[in-house]
Amino acid sequence: HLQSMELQHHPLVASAGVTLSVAVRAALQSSLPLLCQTQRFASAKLLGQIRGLSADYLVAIGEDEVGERRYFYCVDGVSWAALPTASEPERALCSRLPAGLLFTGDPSHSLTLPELEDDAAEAEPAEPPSVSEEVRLAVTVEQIENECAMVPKGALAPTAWGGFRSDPSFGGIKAEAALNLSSYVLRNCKAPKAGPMAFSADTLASADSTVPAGALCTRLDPATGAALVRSLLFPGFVAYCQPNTPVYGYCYFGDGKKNVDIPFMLP
Amino acid sequence: MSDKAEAVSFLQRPNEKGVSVYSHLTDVLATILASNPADALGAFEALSAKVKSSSFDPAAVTVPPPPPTTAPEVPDSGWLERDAALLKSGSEDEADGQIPPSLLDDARLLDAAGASLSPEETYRAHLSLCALQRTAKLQSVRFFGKILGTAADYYVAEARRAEPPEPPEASEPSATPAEEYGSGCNALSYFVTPELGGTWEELPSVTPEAIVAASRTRKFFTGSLDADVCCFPPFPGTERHYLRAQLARIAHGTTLCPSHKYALSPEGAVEPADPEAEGALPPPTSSQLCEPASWRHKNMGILAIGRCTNLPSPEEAEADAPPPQLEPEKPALLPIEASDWALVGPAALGGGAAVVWSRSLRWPGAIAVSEAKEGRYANLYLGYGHPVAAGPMSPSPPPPIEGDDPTAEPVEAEDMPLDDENAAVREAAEAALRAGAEE
Repeated sequence: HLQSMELQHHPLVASAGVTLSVAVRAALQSSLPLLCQTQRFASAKLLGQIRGLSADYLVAIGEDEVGERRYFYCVDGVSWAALPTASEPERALCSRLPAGLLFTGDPSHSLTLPELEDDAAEAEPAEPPSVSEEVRLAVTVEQIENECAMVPKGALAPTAWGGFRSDPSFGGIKAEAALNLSSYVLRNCKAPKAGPMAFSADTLASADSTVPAGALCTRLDPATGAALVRSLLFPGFVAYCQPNTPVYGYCYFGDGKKNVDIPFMLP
Repeated sequence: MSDKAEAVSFLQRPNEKGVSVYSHLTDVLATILASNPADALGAFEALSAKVKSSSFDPAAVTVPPPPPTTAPEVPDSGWLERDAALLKSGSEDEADGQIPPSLLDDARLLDAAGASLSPEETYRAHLSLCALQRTAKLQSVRFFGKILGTAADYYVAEARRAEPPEPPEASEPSATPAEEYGSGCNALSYFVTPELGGTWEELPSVTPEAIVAASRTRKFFTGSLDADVCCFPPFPGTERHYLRAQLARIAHGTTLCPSHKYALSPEGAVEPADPEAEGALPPPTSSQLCEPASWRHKNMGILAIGRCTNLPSPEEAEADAPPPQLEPEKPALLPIEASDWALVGPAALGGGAAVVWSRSLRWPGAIAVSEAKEGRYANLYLGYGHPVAAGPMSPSPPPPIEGDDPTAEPVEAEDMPLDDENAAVREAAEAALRAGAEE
């Protein structure tokens, strides 16, 4: 019961500049259910595409019945490979990478970090740390999921093992509420003041707590009737929902970079 | 407290949370009997603390606010009527000299590259362009793309007019005059609209100051053309001038065509290439299209001064003055830089045709697609309208505070000698007496 994008919802986000070629869409129609079968997932959905120099990575999320999520990537849409889980030192290494670096498109490509100038380095300098593109991709996907992934309020119900899943009785939010950011919650962020009822879905952070204010813009697409929430902090992230229906989701199509210039760029 | 009933009622007195000593002790004893710990006496305080923390506190429960019912922007109901009118307006006319927009053909190429709008939006854009061509009597019009903004997006059309529009009234002359309509950065007109069923608005000609200022700033578009662009140094104009400058930079930096399609005429204009002429390149195969050498920039490059062409040197050049250092002009049909473009393909299109596309690495969102069998190509821009930044933005600091003039030495002023001062006072008093006598 994943909340990222279902393939048939692709027309809803097309007006936001989210594009998938028909060859990729056809490949995903068979490869995602196959991934479910081979990995014993309850559902597998597309998170989006991260652009690289020579190839783009498609990223999918698979979730089993217990609620454990695993991330997969591929280039052609047919054969998926598992993304490693990033460890804390690897996350720290990736945060030191130069800001403008694009993904190359080769998962085995290794990036060497510039050495830190250490005054007390009298011993022989150890070999400079390096991070592979696969790990970098895992860290980027994790960052996008933790900071951006959002769903309409009321769409999630708590599970017995502490996580959240889609609420089957969610009927959708009203059209007037769909354009207001306080109707959305960040799926992987806990609100700072969680009360004693810590298992409730109300403890998820509301989308209007995103810093800086104005980083999310809402739009109603009159042609499809869908409400779209675009993130300016991660350009290419779109969360969508169809008012009064249980159709909702989110996806990311971009180069994986956080827009650090956003304080200057906001009008 | 001698009476037992008094003692029990004291113990049962609830605090502000509704818990009393009596009820708490009951709970603790019940927990001990239920969990049966090995060392109940040793764990007593811990169990008591645990029971206290897990008690229900009605004050700490926050009822979440109800979802808001009034939206900040009410969705426009007039869109449906405007869309119905657009869909009834019909497709291309057979007016003389007008080349109909090729968006529906190009959409096939762009979709194979994974870079087009949805089919319905593409169809609406095609109808809207045909309507624009009829109303504005444009010679040819092309769908340039979509610039995403915070409150609304802009659909952009690039058009070539048969006759130039009236020039705007001359404002104060600037250091670098803008290029005339039909040449350089102003070779083509740009029309924008936030809604395909609405009216297209033509953007004014671009000035070199706007291009230079746009390359120094980085702001999101809001979707309303009269919005201010708040940045430092101040932008000379509103959002429409900023948008026009960015469109010029995108168009002159990312519009590509295959190498064999066009050739430069002796006057320097871009013309369809004659395949029979000597030096004409043969049409490339799909695998050759994957090489950067098969692509050319279709428009001239923009120089640092904000124009495509250098200013003509002044006629009265001093004999001993060195000639001004002019940046070499970048003519049209220059080959592309391999490091600025990522070439992907070929992807099958059907009928033996294959599509190769090149994505701009400098302007993310700009894409050029080409198909080898029939030699078709298309360009599209879908993005926020900014280039890739070399590093995090560092805005220019304000100019330094003006200090005292270091060259001027303070000079003591001599006082007027007493006699002269007395004479001046006497004259002023006589003048006042005369003026008073005349009244």
